[in-house]
Amino acid sequence: MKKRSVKLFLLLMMLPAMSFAQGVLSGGKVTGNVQVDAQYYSNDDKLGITDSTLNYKKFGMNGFANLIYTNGNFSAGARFEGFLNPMLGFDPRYEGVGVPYWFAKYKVGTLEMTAGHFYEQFGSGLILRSWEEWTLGYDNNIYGFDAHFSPYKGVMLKGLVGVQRYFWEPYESGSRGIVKGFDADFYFNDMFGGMADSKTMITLGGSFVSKYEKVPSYTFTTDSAYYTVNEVGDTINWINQKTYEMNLPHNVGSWAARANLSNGGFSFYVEYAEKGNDPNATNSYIFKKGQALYSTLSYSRKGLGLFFATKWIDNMSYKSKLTEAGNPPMLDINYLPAISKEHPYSLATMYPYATKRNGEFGVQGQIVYTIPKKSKLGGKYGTNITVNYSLAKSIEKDTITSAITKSMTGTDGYKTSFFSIGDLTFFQDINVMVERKFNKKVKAKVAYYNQTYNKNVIEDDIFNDDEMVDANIGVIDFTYKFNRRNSLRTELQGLWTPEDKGDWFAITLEYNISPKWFFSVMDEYNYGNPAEKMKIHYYNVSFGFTQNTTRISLRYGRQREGLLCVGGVCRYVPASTGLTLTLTSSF
Amino acid sequence: MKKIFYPIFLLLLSLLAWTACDKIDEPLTLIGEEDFPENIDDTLFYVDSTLVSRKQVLLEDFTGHKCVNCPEWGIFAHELAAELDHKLIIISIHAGYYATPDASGDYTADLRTDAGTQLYEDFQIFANPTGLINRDEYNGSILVYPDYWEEAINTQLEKDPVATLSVKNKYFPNLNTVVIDLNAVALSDIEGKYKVAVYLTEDHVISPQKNNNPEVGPTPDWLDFEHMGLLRGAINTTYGAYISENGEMVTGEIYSREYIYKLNDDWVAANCNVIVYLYNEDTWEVVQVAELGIKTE
Repeated sequence: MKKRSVKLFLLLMMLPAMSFAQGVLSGGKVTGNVQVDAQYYSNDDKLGITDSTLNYKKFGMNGFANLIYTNGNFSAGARFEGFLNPMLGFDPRYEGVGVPYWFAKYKVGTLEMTAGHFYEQFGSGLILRSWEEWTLGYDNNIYGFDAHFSPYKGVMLKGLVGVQRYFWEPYESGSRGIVKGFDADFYFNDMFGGMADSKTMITLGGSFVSKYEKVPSYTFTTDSAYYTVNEVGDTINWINQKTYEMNLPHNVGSWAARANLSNGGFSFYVEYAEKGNDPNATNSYIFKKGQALYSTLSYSRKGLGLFFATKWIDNMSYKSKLTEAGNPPMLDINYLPAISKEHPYSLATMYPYATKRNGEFGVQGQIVYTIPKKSKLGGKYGTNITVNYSLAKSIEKDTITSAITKSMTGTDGYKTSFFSIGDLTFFQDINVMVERKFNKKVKAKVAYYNQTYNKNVIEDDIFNDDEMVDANIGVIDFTYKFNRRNSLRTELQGLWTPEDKGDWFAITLEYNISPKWFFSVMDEYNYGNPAEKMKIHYYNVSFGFTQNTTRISLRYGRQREGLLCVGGVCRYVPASTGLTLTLTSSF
Repeated sequence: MKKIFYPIFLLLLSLLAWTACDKIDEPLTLIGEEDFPENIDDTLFYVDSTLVSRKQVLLEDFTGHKCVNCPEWGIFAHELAAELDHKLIIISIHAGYYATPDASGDYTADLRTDAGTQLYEDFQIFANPTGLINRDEYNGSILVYPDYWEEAINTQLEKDPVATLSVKNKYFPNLNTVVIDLNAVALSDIEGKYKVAVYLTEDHVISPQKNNNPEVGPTPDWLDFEHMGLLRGAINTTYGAYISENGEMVTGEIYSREYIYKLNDDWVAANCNVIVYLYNEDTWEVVQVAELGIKTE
């Protein structure tokens, strides 16, 4: 596959030249970008890192290069990737080089057709979203055909068929499922002339998605004891053994309906999705249907922004291979939107939120208010205040146990009622940030976070409250601008918790010589760790250089272990020490 | 606007069908059932099995060791079975006056069984030898006399098979016990309620038999007569049990039953046969029959 991919890549690279030779595609444009992350690891007694724990892989490199050719209604592109070796925390199955993503796309009238690999999303992604996040090592691109078609003004139809990326493993019959999907959006204000000038915007949409896969055979046996007595009174004790086979569905379908209404500063979005019986490794092979509701309500005007979101998820892990489970999450067909705020400060991300796909209620509210400038409270430049609250809890589950499998496997799993809320808290985050510019030289941010983190649930899928972490986090971010080009940013952070690894303190000093240079010194100190030897300084020294669209940075120091989450999808990052080079460039 | 909505609506419907979903009503299906002795030392077993999909015919030969005409017809029946590639299954039922044992002399053996006596009485057998051939009428009577056995058997064999029977015998020598697994499948829609009866017979049983035909053996007493297909007992009662919960059979569906039977220590297990027959409860007609010996080594 890798060889085939390289050939395709070369073919794509040659396309412009071939076309140029034919004088057909003159006027085309080539764009691209490159990123290389390379790490050299060193042994560290404090962290217990040795050659052996590193598997003697002292060097890790993750890199990609995107190249896109565009000419009028035609475009083609490819992404070359290399993981030699995959950096720590990335799945070793990524090791290798190749072209896991290439496409050719053209547009004729209102039809846009893509062949090859593509990313697609229906609605908020409840039943289909293919996306890529480099920092997570997450890529579930679809390889096949994708079409967008507008048969009428205000109507957008999408259809796709394909198979999903699984590391470097090529698709073979039975290796994973085939995904099919259809989506439609109806923009009422465009469709109906009478609504064209209406301030109320209405959009309705709906999707169907189905996957087909060859299913494995699972059998279960039960033993029961009994005895027989014959006419002369002889007794024999027997074991009766019954063997059952699980009937797994080859086709698992799902559908979703959504509505979006907006008027002035108000916007309301709601989407409901259902999935047919989908026994799989992530839900312990239960046959219950899946349900999800996701809704947002927002309002904004000058100086004020309000945002409210809620979701309710039940049994919505939807993958194109039913045996796939664990980390990194691969072959996800759908995406369940995260409803917690992602924070920019390192200690505030120590306890991140991860979506629990098989049952979760969530709610989030946020107020962003700007105290007007030149007011008594707002000061000369105004003051921004952001208050955010998010909560994720379990849903009610009344477990059903099979007499055959002695577990929920092979049953509906449990009973629940729509929008029920359970007692177990998964995650809670209350945070306030105040941001103010005092004068042309000084600006500051002050933030406070109170986070409740259910370690067992989020990290290990153990649904109890035995490992709850309650953390208070404070941040002061102070920037002093010496002149137009030189500035110093100082960041002080503290995290206090009696649980887990205890208290932390962090300091960052970052000197910027705009627009080309930056120098940074940082230390995260786990001074409150209950284990004396784990009271470790996670120090980092770095600098970076930027030239036009190219940026090179070099960092040496320690990386603490933890979860890195983007949009509720997480990757475990192990502790490491070493030198990191990052190169990004685009053209 | 309508012009666009109808095609889209149809498109949605067709795509709904295209994006298929398999609804599983029964997540777990029973695919096998086995019985083992709890005592690990007793778990040694020998297994044998047969699948009958062709039409086979059951002859229930009511006989008695003091019936002088019986050996001739018993021998005839077994020769016919051999000629017919054993599409004919024979149960030799000792019942009635000629089967009663004497208090002394050569005929003290009691070859009768409760099941045989019950059949003898219920079918109102009044003479030996008399046969029931698939318990179906021939020339207006369910009781068929030996002169007509071959014709009646051939008539039955001309019928198409309407069911298959598979039988598996698992014999545990330390327990002298056989576990019988049977499956029945209707090949076409068959009406009525069906029962399956499981009997045990024994071959090569040497016991005196009266005889008046010197062409087949010694007369008048054939002291070392070799009884074949001798009914030893009904494993699941004389008239068996419904094959399904209510006796009805749906084409293609597999109906399974399992029986455990401890053999009498006086019998030779290697000479024993399990006979399974499927019959219509209302008409009595036997629609399929299977015979399987017991493997003992």
